[in-house]
Amino acid sequence: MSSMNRRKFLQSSALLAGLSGVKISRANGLRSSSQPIVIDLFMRGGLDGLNLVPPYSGNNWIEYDILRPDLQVPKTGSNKMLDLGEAFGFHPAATGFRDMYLDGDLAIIHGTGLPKPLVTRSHFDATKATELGTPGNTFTADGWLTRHLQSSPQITGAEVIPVLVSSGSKPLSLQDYFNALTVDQVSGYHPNPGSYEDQHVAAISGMYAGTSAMDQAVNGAMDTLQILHQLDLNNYQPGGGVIYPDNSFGDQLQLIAQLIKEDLNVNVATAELGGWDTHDRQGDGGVGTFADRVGYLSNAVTALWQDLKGSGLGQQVTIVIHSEFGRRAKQNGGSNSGTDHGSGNVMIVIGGRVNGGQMYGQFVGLEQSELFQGEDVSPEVDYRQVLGTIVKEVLGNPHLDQVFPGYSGHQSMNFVSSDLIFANGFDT
Amino acid sequence: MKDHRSSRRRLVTGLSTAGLLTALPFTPLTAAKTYTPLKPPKKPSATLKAAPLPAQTFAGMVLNRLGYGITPGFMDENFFQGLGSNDANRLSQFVNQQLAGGNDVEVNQRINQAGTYETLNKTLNQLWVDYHIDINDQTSSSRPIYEHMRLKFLRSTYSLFPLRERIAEFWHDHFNIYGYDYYARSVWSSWDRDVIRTHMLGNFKDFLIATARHPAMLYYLDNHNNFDGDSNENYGREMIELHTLGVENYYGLAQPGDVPKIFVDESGGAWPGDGMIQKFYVDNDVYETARCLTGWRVNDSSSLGDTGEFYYDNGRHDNFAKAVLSGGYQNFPANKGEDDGLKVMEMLAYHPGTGKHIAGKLARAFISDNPPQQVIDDVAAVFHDNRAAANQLELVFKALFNHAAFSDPQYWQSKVKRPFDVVVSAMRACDADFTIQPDDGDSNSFGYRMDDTGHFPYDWRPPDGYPTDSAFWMNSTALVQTWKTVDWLIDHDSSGNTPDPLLPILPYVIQHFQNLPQTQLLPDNILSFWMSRIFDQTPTGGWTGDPVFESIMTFFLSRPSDLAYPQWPRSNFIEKDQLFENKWPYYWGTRLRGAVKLMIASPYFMQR
Repeated sequence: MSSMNRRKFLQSSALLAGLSGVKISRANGLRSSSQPIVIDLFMRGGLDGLNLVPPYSGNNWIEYDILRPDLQVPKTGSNKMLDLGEAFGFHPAATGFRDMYLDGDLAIIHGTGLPKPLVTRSHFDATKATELGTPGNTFTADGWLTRHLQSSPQITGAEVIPVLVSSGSKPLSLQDYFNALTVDQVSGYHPNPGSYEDQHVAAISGMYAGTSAMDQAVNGAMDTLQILHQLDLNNYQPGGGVIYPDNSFGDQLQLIAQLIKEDLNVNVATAELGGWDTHDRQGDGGVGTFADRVGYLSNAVTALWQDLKGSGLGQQVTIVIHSEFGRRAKQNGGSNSGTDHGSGNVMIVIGGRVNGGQMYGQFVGLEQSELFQGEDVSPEVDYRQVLGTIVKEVLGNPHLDQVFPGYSGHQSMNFVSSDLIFANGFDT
Repeated sequence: MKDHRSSRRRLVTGLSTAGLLTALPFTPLTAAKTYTPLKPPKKPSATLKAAPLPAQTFAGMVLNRLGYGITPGFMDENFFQGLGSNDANRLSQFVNQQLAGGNDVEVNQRINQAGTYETLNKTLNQLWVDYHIDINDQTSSSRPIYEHMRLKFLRSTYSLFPLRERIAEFWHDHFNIYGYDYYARSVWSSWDRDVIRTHMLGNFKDFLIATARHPAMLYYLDNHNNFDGDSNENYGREMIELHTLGVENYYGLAQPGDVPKIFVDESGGAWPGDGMIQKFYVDNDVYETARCLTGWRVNDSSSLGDTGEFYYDNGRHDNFAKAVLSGGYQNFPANKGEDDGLKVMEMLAYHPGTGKHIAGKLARAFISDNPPQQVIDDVAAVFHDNRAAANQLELVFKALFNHAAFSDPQYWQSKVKRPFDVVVSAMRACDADFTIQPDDGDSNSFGYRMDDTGHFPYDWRPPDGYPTDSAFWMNSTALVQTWKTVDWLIDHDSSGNTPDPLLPILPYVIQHFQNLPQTQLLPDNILSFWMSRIFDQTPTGGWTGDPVFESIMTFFLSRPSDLAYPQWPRSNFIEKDQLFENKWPYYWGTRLRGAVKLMIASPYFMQR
């Protein structure tokens, strides 16, 4: 059904472009859609949440100091932990996150993870469990975002591009969804360009006229390139005077902002960032491999948020950052060492509807008896409770039983401002 | 005018296909060459498949799954028919011939002619000294991986033994290492030759040990930093989870004593005396395996000689007793040193779960994303029964390819080709004359495009290897960028004094039609000629009316952009000079190249 709408869009916009002789700037003209949008940023490899949001004071800091003598984020010096006025601070490379937190746009949720009996320290199992949204069952056919799109009453079928993947390949959270706009760059994105390019695309569509997944994927690809071709994406001016970092993650996030602003009725956008599997040479004193990665992440996400917020889209957009698991509380060696796979972790949620500047979740502690199995930050909060709060209260989809089958007894995390909760008559 | 039928083979002057291949173990040909068209494949159970090539030949099926497609006039229907008296016999003969290997004449000639491959024959130690240790600027050179990223295209396009290339590709994915990793990039020629290709048809336990002792793996999965008391479990975990038992045999965080047990007929080493071992592994087995591997490192310090070779460092080894897959019983006694690592790899390689894990991966890579359980069970049994045999993996591959499930038409064309496969099979089908090589402008231009497909050889960072699952590759980025790479190949002429098309599309048409009456140059005849060339078969009654063919014909006959000229009537022939010289206003040469691009983009070509 959504491809029918793309067809309609393509026809009408082609007509417009033909008449006016210029590329259209907004697909739906001047009418701005108010559709809520979630941007799911998955951190591949197991982000070390304990060093992204380390303890700042109290007994937790004392234990942290013992567990990570060679890897800790220091409390003093030029690379000291960023003070949030809380019992936890931010890694010194996460200045953008700190600013968003202090602006009240960013919420930290500590102690999240897979439900304890289903914890796995395998990247591949934990990634599947998280992204398929069915912990304990890694053979689920579809992903949690696929099921959200299928069950959400906010998706009417009139959307041009409900799903945008700013990456070379689609995440498991969209498994079994074959009509996503998947793109990692826009320049030169066309097969056989030249005099016969439109006929070429028409012929490809003609050869894939069936209903199989491959037919859908090819037609999605043909729609993608035609839409990109018709939109004016080359002269992008980010909102709020933002300059995106000149790197591939910055490019990916900028593309998300660009396409959201084209008003294609995006409901879900995804991107991912790897490089978090820090078994070795994680870095010490607030510098090194991990610090570089945190800066890379924080700077790009901050640019994305400031761009969208500066363009008046802050109330529409919610960004969630998470990973398949956290890492072990104790470092795995001396200097130049790292951390092995663990479980409990931090999640970060950013948005205009998010009651930020606060910490949520449950951090049990870092003493041996408080660690999960004596090893990890305890995963007290089922990650589905965090995503469920977003799905229900921000995206306005009450059908958590369908998005997360087998998940019951959901309670709001209360990080969505009550006066901003989706007021469509769903229970709140 | 060059004879393009032989252009690609001009490097192998004096040797016919038969001449090259009869040098290999070969059973005498039978006289019978009756060819019975197969029934169309049954409707697939999976819903992934777009329209398949109708009535695909058995030879086409085999060459697409066990090679990189058809190479017209060389590795095609005629060649395959000559291999035996019936399909099963021909398939078996093809597999035997391919696995046996031999002098890969054209590959070697092209390497020599390129003259820019300098790392291929160096020993591990030479590679280490020449590319890793650099006194001057302290940075290692990536020359070896750079050469291999190009060599993989050269080999796959021109090898006489494409099945061996596919098998090497499978194991490179299985034991995946990111090519530009710090140690790997300087020693890749050794990793590819001494580990992957030396063991890919041999014994799995020996293969596993060879991977564990190689500096590329020791560094990539951090075992070089795995000490007594500070064990780094990264490698231990991936060895179990990816290389041997597989995550399907993971029992989570349970205690070893809670895991169901199975009886195995093993003795000695670390095998429990009663033969009862855990059916599955738990996290504790990962930690204990990591302890077994403490002290396995690279000779990478000057005090040891800095040879780049494997070094067992007993001072770093955890010499206390350990328990792996034994329900908690300490089956690794104290003070066994390096033997702990060897024994734990024997347990993992001989565990029945490993055979099942690898058989499942093989069936999904070579047959279908959803293969029948029977072929997995049968291949797993061959794997396990021959676990001590020197040619264990050769037997495993033969069992897989000669299995009834492999020839069952319901699984034909059920997988989407990965981008590398599309590009290489297009080069073969179009008879490319293009030696992809280091330090070469055309190869660089090709590389930029290929990079955008997301499937450049050895460029996958995580240790699980490029996915083989079709759904992964069914996204707009992979599809569009792959087709753009093929477009570039079809449109590009070689650099140099005598530019020739890298893929001679128009020259073959000229050659075919130049001595025929001009009235033969009908649109249907021109496109049918290339369809039959690329797919190496022609439907009964010809291509006209075939839906893919008709879509391409519509493109071919598009109205020119100069609207003063009408759409070309399909029943009109095209004048020779208009086509052969790509003249305004119809630009038939450009249209022809576009049509061949579409044939490659079609579901008939994209699925295997």
